[in-house]
Amino acid sequence: MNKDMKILIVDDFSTMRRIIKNLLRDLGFTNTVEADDGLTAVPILAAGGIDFLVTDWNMPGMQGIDLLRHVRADEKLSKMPVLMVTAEQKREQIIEAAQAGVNGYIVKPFTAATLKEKIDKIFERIDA
Amino acid sequence: MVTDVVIDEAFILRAKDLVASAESGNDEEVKIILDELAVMKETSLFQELGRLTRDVHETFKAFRSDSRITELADGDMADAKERLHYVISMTQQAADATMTHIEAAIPLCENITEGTSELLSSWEKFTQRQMDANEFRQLSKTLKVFLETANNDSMALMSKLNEIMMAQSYQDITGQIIYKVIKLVEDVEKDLINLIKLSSEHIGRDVLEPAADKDLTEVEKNKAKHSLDGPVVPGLADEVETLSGQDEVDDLLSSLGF
Repeated sequence: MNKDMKILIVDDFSTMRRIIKNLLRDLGFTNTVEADDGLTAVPILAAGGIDFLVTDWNMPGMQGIDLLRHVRADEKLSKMPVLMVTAEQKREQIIEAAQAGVNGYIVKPFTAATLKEKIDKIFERIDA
Repeated sequence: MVTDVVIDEAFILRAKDLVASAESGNDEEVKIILDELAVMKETSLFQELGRLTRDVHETFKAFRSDSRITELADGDMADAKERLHYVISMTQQAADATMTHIEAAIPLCENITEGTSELLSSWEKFTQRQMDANEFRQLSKTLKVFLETANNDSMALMSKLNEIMMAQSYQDITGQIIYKVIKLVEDVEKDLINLIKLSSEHIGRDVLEPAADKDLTEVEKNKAKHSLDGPVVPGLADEVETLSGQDEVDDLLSSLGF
């Protein structure tokens, strides 16, 4: 796992973005950018250079699930690992995210250990 | 209006008789006609009052029989109350956790500050060559102990700071819940305005026809079904069909091949 990879954090609540950013920094990932919903995330992704996407689901403008679908549908982005961090925990929603091609799913509120575990798992699979 | 109803043809006819009787000086006749006119006026007043009373009664009946009122009171309002109570308990928990970690962090900072100021004054003495060999040996022992504790303390401090940071995640969760309550209040407001419109139309009309609005609420209900549920609030109906945490989510995902 490359600790210098560029990570895009998408969440409409700035407190949550800061928490995730700090947790990632603790894990050694210091190269992060932020967006407050899908619509602002799309141009950042399009500009290139993002290696990993961490996104919320429920956001104004463009929702996380639609952002995930957008990533999977874009040839240049389709292989990007996507971790969803959200308060949505209905069975059908988790299945929907899985079908849309999410790589990991964390429900809020979560712990630093959970974030580390899911990120490790995602990159273990990719590197394998 | 009352006056329009009072002055009808019969009234004007009798009023003319009254003038004629008064001019001819017929006291008896004047008295009788005046009484008659008064009765005519009262009757129309009572009729109007009766109509108003019936309208008010009908409106109340319509309000009572309108299921949306009970839905609002039993469903939406109770739901909003439950959500807000949960917000209070979450913010309370976050504040408590934050205070607890701060209280645990303060002595750690104090230890570090105390140790460094003690060492600083010894170090000062050493650099000014006012320290003998014995004192220096003592200083190096103190220094070693301090470095070890300071290392542990600052690690513990870091973990407290992390806990404090994580406690702030309540802002996201409660924010989402409050957004939901705001939406709920807006819906209730809309429903109430619809009801008021309906009942004001009802005055002067015989039948209440809420059919069109029923369709509207049906559409809105469907729309609500497709919207996201947001954070789970304990005790609310949407808890059903919801997984109870990260472990269950992990189980579901691994059953899907994750």
